[in-house]
Amino acid sequence: MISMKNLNKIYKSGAVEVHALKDINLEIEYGEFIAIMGHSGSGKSTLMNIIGCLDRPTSGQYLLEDIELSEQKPDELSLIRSKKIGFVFQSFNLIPRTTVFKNVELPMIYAKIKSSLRKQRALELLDKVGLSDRVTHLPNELSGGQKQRVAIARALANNPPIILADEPTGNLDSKSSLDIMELFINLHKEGCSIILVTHEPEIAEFANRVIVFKDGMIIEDRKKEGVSYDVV
Amino acid sequence: MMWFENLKIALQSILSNKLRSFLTMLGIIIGISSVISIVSIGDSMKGVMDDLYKGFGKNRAYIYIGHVEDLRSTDFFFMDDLDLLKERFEDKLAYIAPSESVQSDVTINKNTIKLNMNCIDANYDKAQEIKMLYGRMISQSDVDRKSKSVVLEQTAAIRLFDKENVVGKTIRVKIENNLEDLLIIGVYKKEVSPMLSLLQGQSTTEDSFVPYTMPFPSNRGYYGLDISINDNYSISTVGEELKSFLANLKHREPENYMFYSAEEDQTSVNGVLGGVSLGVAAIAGISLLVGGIGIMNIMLVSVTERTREIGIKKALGARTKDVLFQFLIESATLSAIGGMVGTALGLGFVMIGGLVISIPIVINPTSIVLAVSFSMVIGISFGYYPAKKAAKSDPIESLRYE
Repeated sequence: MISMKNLNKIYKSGAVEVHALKDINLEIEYGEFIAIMGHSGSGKSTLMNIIGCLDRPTSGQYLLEDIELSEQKPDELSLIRSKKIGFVFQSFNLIPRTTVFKNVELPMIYAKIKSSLRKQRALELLDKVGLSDRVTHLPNELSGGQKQRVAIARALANNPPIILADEPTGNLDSKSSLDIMELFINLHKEGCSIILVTHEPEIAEFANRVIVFKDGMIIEDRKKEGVSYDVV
Repeated sequence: MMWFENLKIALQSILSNKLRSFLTMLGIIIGISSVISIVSIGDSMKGVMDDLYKGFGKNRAYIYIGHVEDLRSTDFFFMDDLDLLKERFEDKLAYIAPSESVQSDVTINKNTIKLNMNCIDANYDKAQEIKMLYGRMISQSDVDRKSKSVVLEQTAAIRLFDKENVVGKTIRVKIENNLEDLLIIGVYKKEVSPMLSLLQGQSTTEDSFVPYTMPFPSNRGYYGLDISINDNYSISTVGEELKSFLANLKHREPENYMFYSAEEDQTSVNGVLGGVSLGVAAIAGISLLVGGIGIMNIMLVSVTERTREIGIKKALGARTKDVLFQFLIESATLSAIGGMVGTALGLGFVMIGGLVISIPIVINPTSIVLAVSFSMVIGISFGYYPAKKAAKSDPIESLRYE
């Protein structure tokens, strides 16, 4: 599904060059649940931005579902994001002063889906994350856990092959964190590919593949077999 | 579809910040309402002036002896001259008579009024429409017989006799030091526009008509002529022709005669009115510019404030043009609403003003359409830079923005 070959990302700020990603080679298959770990500045966020088509590599090849993404224009990347990527952020990033329903509907508006279909799908998704009774609420009326569940429903709106979650439990208490992880596990069971950035080992434990970054390089790539999904 | 969604998003954003939206619109509201009221006042004044000249008769003109250093008795207009003019300008003149009137006090019982007796020919209705209430107008036979008859204006009848229908009664007037008894043969109603009566104030003199042959001996020379020109002829051309004809007749220069027409006067008054309202509207238009800058300012703040929101939207698949449209539609909507409120306010001012001084209000629909579309153009042009700034922003930078 995702294939990266000799991928490099270099940031230039003035005369200083920061080599954020060094010669990354990575293959990700459909249905994987991957945790990306590493300290801040290790390059994991840069990788997430490139996978999420928010940023382009300086050199190397990035194929997403066999589409070459290194050379795409910003609006083409927008289209790919809209169809193929569902984002879940640490700080939820719901649109303020906009109802839960509208937040979930928004990606479908950008994907030009018909209004009646949008409505039906948004309600289905909110039901799936257990928020059918919060449809008309505004984001600031929700708890952190609820906000993140809205964000997950929104990420699923266009039925993308990949869910990218950047520290999704970073701002949540342990109870809510477990609820959210349970949601991810269920999505994974249903066949979603999930890539999750975290620095918490206990969260990474839920994944069936853990990739560890350091200084822009992958220092560990470990697949686990028979991961137990028992959530306490 | 995207337009409609964007419009909804824009309205939502305007409504979620009501006070700020209102303050932003204020510039546009003030600008548009002043432009609308000024244009409307200008149009209404034009209407009032039209009305004023209509009361006078739109084809009416005067020709009179201007500045002459050695005024001779032959310079005056005599009946023979009138006959010559009538013959020579038969097609062009609808009406011609000496421009003359006589004033006299009239007392009936204890009611005394000052009566102005306008000397007219039988076909006066060709020069000005007269609305008869009772009896009849001055006839050709009245003129020929120099009959001692008078047609009173309605208010004169009421002030003298406390009633309107006074046909058959007589009034005693003083003409050239002789007391004359005049038979009232008719009562008419003068159509006066409210603005004209406002300008004239409460008139103490009442109007009436008498045959022009009656008050004076037939060999009297007159200083000026009251004329009305037929519709198919240019008033100023006929004026020039009359001047040269008279100059030829009296061995004078055309410059020695003055020609005054209601039409020419009206054109110049309208020109001045139009110029003045255009100038004032232009000054009011500057406040629209200021309003536009206000919108740009707020949109820039709004874009900065919503940097993160823009980033999220881009991450969710919004393209450059989606973001551009969202902000453009927001500023266009903001200024269009401002334009509409301003229009309503401006019309309100004008209508209240019109009621207070009781003049008919002229509202030009074009100016409303123009005002609202102009305010939208302002919204779009001043909103473009902030919108472009938002649309071009880098999603990663925007998402990181706190």
